[in-house]
Amino acid sequence: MNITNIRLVPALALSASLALLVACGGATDSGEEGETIQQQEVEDGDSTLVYNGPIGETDDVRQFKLEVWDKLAGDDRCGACHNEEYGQEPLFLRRDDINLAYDAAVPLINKAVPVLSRLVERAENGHNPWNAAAADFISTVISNWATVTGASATEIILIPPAEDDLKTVGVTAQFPIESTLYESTIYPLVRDTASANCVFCHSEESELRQQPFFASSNAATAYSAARTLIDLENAVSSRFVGRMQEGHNAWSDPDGVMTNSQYSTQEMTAAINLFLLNDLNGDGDGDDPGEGLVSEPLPVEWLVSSASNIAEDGQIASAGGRVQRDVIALYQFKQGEGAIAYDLSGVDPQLNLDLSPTGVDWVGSWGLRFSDNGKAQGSTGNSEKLHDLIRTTGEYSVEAWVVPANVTQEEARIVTYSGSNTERNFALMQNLYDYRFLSRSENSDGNGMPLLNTPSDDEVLQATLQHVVTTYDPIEGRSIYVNGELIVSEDDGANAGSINDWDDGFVLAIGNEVDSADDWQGTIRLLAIHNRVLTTEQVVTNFDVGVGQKYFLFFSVSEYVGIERSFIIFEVEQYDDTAYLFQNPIFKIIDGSDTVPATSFSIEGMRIGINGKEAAIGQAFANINIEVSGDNYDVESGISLVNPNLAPSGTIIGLENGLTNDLFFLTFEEIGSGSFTRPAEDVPEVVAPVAADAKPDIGLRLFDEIFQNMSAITTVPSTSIYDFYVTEIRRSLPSATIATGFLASQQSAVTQLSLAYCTELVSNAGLRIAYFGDYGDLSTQGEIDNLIDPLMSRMLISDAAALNVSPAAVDVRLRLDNVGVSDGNALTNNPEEFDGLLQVMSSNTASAKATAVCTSVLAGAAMLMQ
Amino acid sequence: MTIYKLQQRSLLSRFRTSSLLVVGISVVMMGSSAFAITADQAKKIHDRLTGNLPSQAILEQMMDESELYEAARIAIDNPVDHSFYNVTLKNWAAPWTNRDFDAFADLNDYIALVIGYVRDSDSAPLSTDDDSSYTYEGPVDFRGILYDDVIYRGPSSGISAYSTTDNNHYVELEAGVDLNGDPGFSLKSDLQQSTQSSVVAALSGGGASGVITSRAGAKSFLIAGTNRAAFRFTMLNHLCLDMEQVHDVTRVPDRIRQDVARSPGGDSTAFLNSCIGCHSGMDPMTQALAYHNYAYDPETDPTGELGEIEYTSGEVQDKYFNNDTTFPPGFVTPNNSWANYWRAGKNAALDWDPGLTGKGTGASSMFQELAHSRAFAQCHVNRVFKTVCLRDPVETDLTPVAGMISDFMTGSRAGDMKHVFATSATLCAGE
Repeated sequence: MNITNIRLVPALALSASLALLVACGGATDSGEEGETIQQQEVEDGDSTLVYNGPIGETDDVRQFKLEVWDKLAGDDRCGACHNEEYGQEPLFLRRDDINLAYDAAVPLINKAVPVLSRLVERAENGHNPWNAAAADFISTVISNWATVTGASATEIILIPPAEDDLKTVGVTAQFPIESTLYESTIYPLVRDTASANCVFCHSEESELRQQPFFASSNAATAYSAARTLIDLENAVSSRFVGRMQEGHNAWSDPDGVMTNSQYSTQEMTAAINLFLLNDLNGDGDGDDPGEGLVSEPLPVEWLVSSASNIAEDGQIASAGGRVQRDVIALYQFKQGEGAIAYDLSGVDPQLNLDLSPTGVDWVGSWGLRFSDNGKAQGSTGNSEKLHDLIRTTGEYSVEAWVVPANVTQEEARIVTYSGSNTERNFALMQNLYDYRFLSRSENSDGNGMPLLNTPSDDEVLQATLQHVVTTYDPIEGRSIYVNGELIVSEDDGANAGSINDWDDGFVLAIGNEVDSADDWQGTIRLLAIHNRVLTTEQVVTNFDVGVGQKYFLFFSVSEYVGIERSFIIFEVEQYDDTAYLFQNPIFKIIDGSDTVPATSFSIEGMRIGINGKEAAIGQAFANINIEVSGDNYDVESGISLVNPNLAPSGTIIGLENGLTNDLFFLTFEEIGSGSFTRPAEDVPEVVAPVAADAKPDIGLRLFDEIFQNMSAITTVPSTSIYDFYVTEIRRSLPSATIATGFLASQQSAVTQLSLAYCTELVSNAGLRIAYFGDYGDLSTQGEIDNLIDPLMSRMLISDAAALNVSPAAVDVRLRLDNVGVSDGNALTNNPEEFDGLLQVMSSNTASAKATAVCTSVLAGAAMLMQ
Repeated sequence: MTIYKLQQRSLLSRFRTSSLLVVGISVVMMGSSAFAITADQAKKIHDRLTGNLPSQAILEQMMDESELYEAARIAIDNPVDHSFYNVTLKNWAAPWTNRDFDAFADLNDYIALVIGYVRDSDSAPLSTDDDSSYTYEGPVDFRGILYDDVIYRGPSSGISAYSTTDNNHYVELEAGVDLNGDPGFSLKSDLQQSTQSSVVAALSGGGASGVITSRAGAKSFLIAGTNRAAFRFTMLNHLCLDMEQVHDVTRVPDRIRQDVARSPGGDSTAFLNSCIGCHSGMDPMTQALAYHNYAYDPETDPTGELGEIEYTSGEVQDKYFNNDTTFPPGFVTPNNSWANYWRAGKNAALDWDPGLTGKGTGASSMFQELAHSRAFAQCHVNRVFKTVCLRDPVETDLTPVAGMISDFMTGSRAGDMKHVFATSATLCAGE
């Protein structure tokens, strides 16, 4: 919404006359276009209503004719009665003179806020609506008229509730201070080691010690951690339950009927419901005496504004200003129920969409949510208008506000105008992080291929509310805009061209392919199909207007600032099914006298309250500190309470009881004459460390340790082996010390590395002689000792070394130089290993024997274990 | 030494079967040693601190000491074996330098800084360490690895010069490392301290913050994205806490940027119950890095091998405005001021330094906030203990480990990481 000016209107000066609310500002970008007046036929079933009266005397009358009269004057709508022939006053759709019809219509229409028009109110109140979306339809045509004549809401008149209508804050449940209730309800479940899994991680004494410690052995600590995980209004909305729904370490159904997630969700929800029911004694029936949930008014020392409910007290902010002059199909999904999504474009025939019985749900913030292979689809006959009207211009745009449910779905149809999953006129699709646009032309195939894709690396598509527009121009080809930004266009218009071969037998579908073969999961909150290319400026305009109904909420703070009719005003909208968006707070005095603050004062630490308590989550204005004075206060716009360097302009607050029931208020730490020092938060105790279970403290040496250790043992510089080590061995060696994870392949790598070192040691004369002296041909015991002893010594394998943790030297030697005999050998535990290594290799060269002995010792546990 | 018979048998079997030639383990219980420090204790201390078997000479030198701690100091600092630095510290720090926690990562300036700061955090250098090639450049506070304007480089000859656009200097240094740097290089004696602001042109005007702004740190955590990775991985690697563990939905969410969807998938409860718990604390901290980036050409160099750190003093990096239409009313980063909202609420238990204010400007002060928390000390002390002892502290270790944490935070041994290694080695040296 573009707010270019805010004009105040004192409440007392405002009678009930809606006419006073009409305000016209400067022209919008869109208002400057499409001034050509066209005679338009209004189809009425089998007949066509043709206007033959005098032409409109002014531009505004002529636009009224095009945008309103043409859309409503048929016999199937308001025009059936409100004409001079039938005679039902007011005659705002008379057919003899458009100028007289205009005069009659103006008092019934609020261009600034179309939804507040008398015409809309009457339809909403059940006055002969021709379908469930009649009021929305009238609102849309009025909005279109306001937009093309530049009368959409560029100026906002704020109308706060009358002083007598200001509400006060109520009372709702609060958490008990003590942990008793938690201990009797939720705590037993999360501590249960036999079924639930929570305690295995979410307690200090667990091995994993995963915070939050809501399953702590200390009940008070556990309760403190659990409070933010419990929703006092709705057990199912609790974080506890949400995690179970996600399957987070869910536990199994002992009966084996439900999935782990379903069962755990059920169990957790039941436990929280017991908490909400005050089941202090744990017998499952609730409402027990003792300190459970408490319902108390806000502390008297708090600085609290008046309260406000959106439905009763919110001032509707116009959602006008959209560029939709050439819209030929429009869906705003406002009605919130029913099996049909109505086309509000006013271009007949109405291309209404039938919702599949399952997999499509209405969302409270206006929209349809698709899941489970749902679909909304028009009829072939009515879809033909797309074919006819787009072929007339040869160009078009598809505009949508969407919320993809995830970024994992592929080739999912958001909107398609097609005959099957291989034949279409156009489609907007999701493929992972990409939007895809297929459009049939003389230079594409029958499926609209090749497609135009947003760059995958940019991950343009996100699972959040996005405005996406695809355009097709017969010369420039296709483009995709997301959130007002041109993301991608065809480089050379190679696939542009005539669309004369479009098929008129295709149908429009949302959320799925027409054959239900490629479903999309997500929410669509608006869809508009235009038979013109929206310019970049127009795309930006529509993006800036946003989607959904916005309201102004007024919170009186006169009591604290000492100035009557002083308000803090938020723009509020229902953001989705579970939250509100609060944004752009201002302080403003609305007393009709252009009063400015005589003395300066602060507004500090503002929090949003809901249903008798401060919202636990989302208090993005809690750190504001704004000085209000006559110098910075503007009588037109008040003063913004958003400091862009210190705070965001908006935040979301969880929805509790719905738009018609939730009652909001504000609290402050300082405002005007009031000051409230918020009590310091409890400082949590530092969790004491917990002893681990005793485990063996031996382990493997790690890769580089092995590499360097072998160098230290053999005296071979590690640099001489480095290349071989890095390229062939390193990643095959142990990377963790735990001995039970040792693999045969790692031993193989150890042996290869040992062989490399020993080969270098034996083949390098300098190193060899310095290390071994002379081992000759290993034919004598002395020569054998010269080979074995240095290795054994450097590896601390010595029976005399007083080392408990080391192989027994006698065992090692036997494996190296034992000459087997048929009895009396020392290898009682390995009688089959009779001959030592040297004996086995008796026919080999001395170098080979030396290398083998070196390798066998070096690759052993004495080197590997630590 | 504690070894269970069953496990001993299992290990023995495993090693025997893995190779005909492999020598098995034999635990031979012998009488008590006449020495104050037994050979087993000395060997174990040396094993754990260096990864190497000690030479007979070093073993005897260690056994000649009257205190285990002094023996440990010999294993750490002696002229013939620099493996504590070359191997133990290198492998200790390597997983912190990349997103995959890859212990096989090449030596880089992040690892070098950690090694250098352990070497120079020594508040009481050994007089017996007569390694003449080694220059002590301390004492420094090890916690400064996160926030000091410091860099450690290798020798200026024999390998490629240090470069801000590649890692060749450190790769070649690592390839030339030998036992004590003679011949070859040593990460004890060949690392020389300097300042990032004097070596890295991009940081000459400020912005240096220890390993965070090292080339390796920047390449891993300041590359692309939103710079939140630099915060998250620092929490993981240096406070041993992932975001789920500090999740607190009750903090004021006024600095959560525009790129965080408030209704992911159309469900605001996901934001209110989950996303907000991390972002409300993380985003105001990560704002400290608003001027930092790792610049590279994604077209020709998709993994950033040739990139370098970028610091745009006074100008917020574009990445802070990524996806700014996702939630337009979100916070728009104006500068690099930061605030620690986790000083209150459940994360007050991380025990922040009361001598610091919990807010400031720029990366260095923010990472000092993290480094001076008890969580940092606890994380590193426990990690050292496990590195040296190959297990977590048991009941009898709790008090001495708590003492190490306390000593590391305050007093004459504050920030002395070498002391932590040496002390840990004494706790599991055995009888």
